[in-house]
Order: sequence, then C-alpha cells, then structure tokens
Amino acid sequence: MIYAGYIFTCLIGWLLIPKLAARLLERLAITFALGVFAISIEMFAFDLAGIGWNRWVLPLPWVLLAAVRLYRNRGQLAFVAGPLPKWWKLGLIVLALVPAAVWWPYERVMPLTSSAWDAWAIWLFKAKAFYLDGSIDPFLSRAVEFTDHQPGYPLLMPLYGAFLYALNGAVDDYAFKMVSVCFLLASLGVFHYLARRGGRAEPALVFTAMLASVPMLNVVSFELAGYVDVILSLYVLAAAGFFYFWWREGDLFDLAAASVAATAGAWTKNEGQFFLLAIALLGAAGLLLRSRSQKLEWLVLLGPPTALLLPWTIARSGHGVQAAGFAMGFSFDPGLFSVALSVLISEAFRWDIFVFAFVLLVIAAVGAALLRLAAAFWILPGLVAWHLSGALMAYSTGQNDLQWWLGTSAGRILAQVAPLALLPPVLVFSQWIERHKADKPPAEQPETKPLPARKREKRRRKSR
Amino acid sequence: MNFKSPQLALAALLVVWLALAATPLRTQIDKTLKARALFGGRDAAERTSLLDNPGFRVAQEIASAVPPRECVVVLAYAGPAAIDYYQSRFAYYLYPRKVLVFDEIDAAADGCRYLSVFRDTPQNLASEPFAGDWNQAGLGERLSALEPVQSGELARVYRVP
Repeated sequence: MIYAGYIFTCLIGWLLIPKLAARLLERLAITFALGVFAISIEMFAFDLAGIGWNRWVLPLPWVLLAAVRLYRNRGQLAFVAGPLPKWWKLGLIVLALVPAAVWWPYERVMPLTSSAWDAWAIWLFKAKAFYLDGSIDPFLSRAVEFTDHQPGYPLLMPLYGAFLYALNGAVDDYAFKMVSVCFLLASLGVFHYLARRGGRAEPALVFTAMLASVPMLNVVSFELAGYVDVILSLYVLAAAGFFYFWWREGDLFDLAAASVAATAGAWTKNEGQFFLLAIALLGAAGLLLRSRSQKLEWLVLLGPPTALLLPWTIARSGHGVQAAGFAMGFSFDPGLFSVALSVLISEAFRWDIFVFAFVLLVIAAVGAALLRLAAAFWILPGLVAWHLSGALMAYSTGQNDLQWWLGTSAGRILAQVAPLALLPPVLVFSQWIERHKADKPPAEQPETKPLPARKREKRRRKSR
Repeated sequence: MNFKSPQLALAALLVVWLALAATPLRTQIDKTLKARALFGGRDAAERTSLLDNPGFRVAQEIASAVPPRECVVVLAYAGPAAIDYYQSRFAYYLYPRKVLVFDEIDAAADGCRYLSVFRDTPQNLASEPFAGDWNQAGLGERLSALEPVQSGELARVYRVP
C-alpha cells in the first residue's frame, strides 16, 4: 500500500498543476515532489483543525479536486503521447537509470539499519510517532523525552510518512525509506525539465545522465535511505531553477513555483530555512528593482512560507519545543571556519564522491564571464555559495566537535546542492552551442545552396 | 547527432565522467553482492535482527510484555555508548511506551510500572566494555521483590508492584 501511496502522490501533484509544459517523465517528477509537499500540508492542516487522520478521509479533498478537474476538462482528457526520442536520447535515459539499477538490489535487502542513524532516530521515528498518536501534539508534548530525536525539526517527511502509514494501516519503515529513492529519480526529472527549459536538449540530457551517477547523491538516496538530504536537494534545485526563470522572464508562475519549492525545502530541513531566506531576499530585491507596484508578486513570494511556517512556529512554541536551525553569528570562531572551509572544498573536488560536479560549476562561472551571460545566470552559482556559506557559519559556531560534525555531514551538505551545481554548466554549454551555430558560415546551410540546373529541371517535372 | 566542437566537448565530458563514476559503482556492486549473500532469502525481521543484534529482538520481547501506553525501565549490561544507542533504538521500536535505559542495577523506577533486564552480546561487550555499576546479587534481591511477567530468550520483564 505504501508503494501505491507513491503513485497516489504523483496523481495529487498532477491535479494541482494539470497544465505544465513538461514531458511525461519530467511531469511525473515535478508532480511527485509537489504531491509530497501538498500531502504534508494537508496532514498539518487536518491536525490543526482537529480532523483525524483517517485513511478514508485523507484522500477526500483530492478526490473532490479530481472530480472538479474531470468536470471542467470533460472531453479534453485524452493523453497525447509525443514522438519516441531519438536512439541516442533513449541511450542516455537508460544510462541515467543504470546507477539506480545497480543500487536497487542493495536497497531491497537492507533493513532500516543502525548506520543510517538520522533516518530512524529523527525522520522515521516522528513519522511512526505521529501515525500511532494520530496527531503531532502527543509527541511534541513529550519532546523533553526525545531531545536526541530533534523534535524541533521541520515536518515534511514525518507527516508524509504518517500519511502513507495511515493509508497502509500500519507502520512499514522498510517501504517508507524508499521515499529517498523516489526523490532521487524525481530529482533527475526536475533537473532535466529546468536544464532543457533554460538551455538546449542535448546538454540537458547529458548532464541528467551525469547527475544520476554522482556517487554521493546515490549514497544519500540508497545507503542513507530515510535521510532527507536528497529531498532537500530537489526542492533547493527547483526553487533556484524557477527563481532563475522568473528573474529572466518575469512569469508569475515561476515566482510562485520558486516560493513553493523554497517553502517545501524549509519544511524539509533546517538548512532549507536558510535557503528560503535567500529566495525571499532576492525576490524582494527583484520586486523593488521593478518600477510598477506588484502586490500580487509580493503575495506569491511571501504568502506560502508565511502561511505554513508561522502556524508551525506557533504549534511548536506552544509545546515549548525550540526551533531547529543554525545559530549563526553566535560564538563565531574564524579558526573553525577555515578548517570547515578547507574540508568542504577538498570534499567538493573529490572525484570519487562528486566526480566533476563542483569543478564544472567553477568552469561554468569562468565560461559565463567569457560568454558574458545575462546577470540572471549568477543567481544559480550564488545560491550554491549561499547554501554552503550557511553550513560554514554553523560549523564555525563550535556547537559540536568539528571533526565529527564534518565527518558526518560535509558530504551530505554538498550533496544538497550537487544537482543545483550542475545547472549552470548546462546553461553555459547551451549558450556555447548556440553561439557556435550562429557563427557558422551561411554556405554550410544546405537550403541556401543554389541547385544545379539539371536538378532544378527534375524538380519542376516532379511538381507537375 | 551532428558532432561539432561544443558537442564533441560534451560527449568527451560524458565519457570521462562515466569512466570516473564507474569505480564507485563497481564498489557498490561488490557491496550489493555481499549484502545479498548475507540477507538473501531472509524476511525483514531476520535481516533487522542480524544488523541490530540484540536490540531488535530485545525490543520485540519487551513490546510483547509491556502495554503500549506504559513506561519501562531497562537495566542493560552494556557499554556506555551502547546504552545511548539502546536508549534511542528502544524509543523508536517501543513508541509510544516511555523507555529509560540504565547500566546501573539501582536505577530508580521513576514511576514506571515495568522493569526489564538484559545483557549485551559478548561481541558487543568486547568492542564496548561495560563501565557501569552491576552487582548481580543486588540485582537478584531487587528482582525478587517484583512480579515476573515474561522471561524471554534475551530479556526478562517484571511488573513493579
């Protein structure tokens, strides 16, 4: 039933954005990510409203929405399949799935292990507790008992897990940890959508295949299944990508998508809250730079985070549970900062963990400068730097033993932005290809060549 | 695909990337084969108990004797880090029961109506030696005043009058 729940999640996301100019696999990826977020909000809203998490009641809003969609779109529901991709594109799609295929048998036999500490001690624990209690309140009221289990951490994954357990009628942590694998696959679809939209089809697909084989991303999705780093990486990627499009094209839908994705990231993990701050600040700067009054844009930018995070803050504080987050600016130690910086840099450039992901980001920045790409481009590497700077500031506070802390989290912090780090190189490659094509001499264009006299005569006869 | 210089660079990048990514993938194939040899053909509970020995089975035995909304004090003959581990692990396995794990036989019941005793495996104790206060005679005296509820393979459970 948990696996059916994953499919149901895609359907919910599909209902929320029925019209999106994306291909089938891209849409599945985007709708899954959106569906998970929507379900966690539904669970939270039901709990605040005192409505029980009944397996028959929980799908009701979505069934109603589906009925409305069916009624409004009657006669237009036929799905039109696009043409089959070319052989080399199919080859790259298969190539992108090879790492998951290699890891999958391992994931199938591994139980929820003690090595994946955070998975069960934090995320799956809360999912189980919320499901068994039928609410978030009993767990939060016992928070003093569970200080090791981080009761103040955000709730996207625990509430989604509680939803799947409610559908299933029992706790099944083995099936639920597969959510990390689903998010890895969804990351590939979201990445391809953003890369194809921002650049060209060929580099988009090649870089998607490359992203699929980033070793650390596979580790956080399979070996550390049940961790939320791969979930956060998807929302960070989506928020940055849609924000880039909004900055470049000014479409309100992109701003809304960026705001929703950034809010989902903040609702997933505390690092996401720092990333949300960047999106909010950049969005505010972008709106202030535009001359005309844009009340709707402000609402779209600030509405989702306020509407979700404010009630959560009130609910959490009501139980005396402290916020989870970075204590930035407090007891900043420059020595710790430099140690953390050197470890992050050396980890980022390790080929056996991230291959060339961060090397390509640096090369892309140089390439963008040489090609004089638009200012919007710099938002993407800037957001990668912002995310890592947040982690560096946290490491510099000395809250934990630094060597232990870096050893357990540096790779995961970098994995959170690895997909985003590969997006700027796609844009630079695409721009390079565009300019290379534009530089071609017109003589190479076959249509412009004058036909020999004999061929012209043949064509004339055929046309008769 | 018409290979011109940027496309050629893209193809070359992909080949080099995949060549580098193949090494970690090969390591993963070895890990997968080992995991399948160890766990293949076993059900989920058997696999978990193999990896989480004896935590998973001890928790199962306690769960079968202690009702869900009750509190249980667990006296564990285990090393200090193992005590922290069992505290977190039992909190997960036994939720919504309240669980308190100690390595001292005199640990207060703290209002809990159940008490359980178990001993860590020799392998675990070899890597993480016991460092608490454990007097077997004193423990016997304390347990004799309690009502035995269950004597499992790994853990004994008592009700505090």
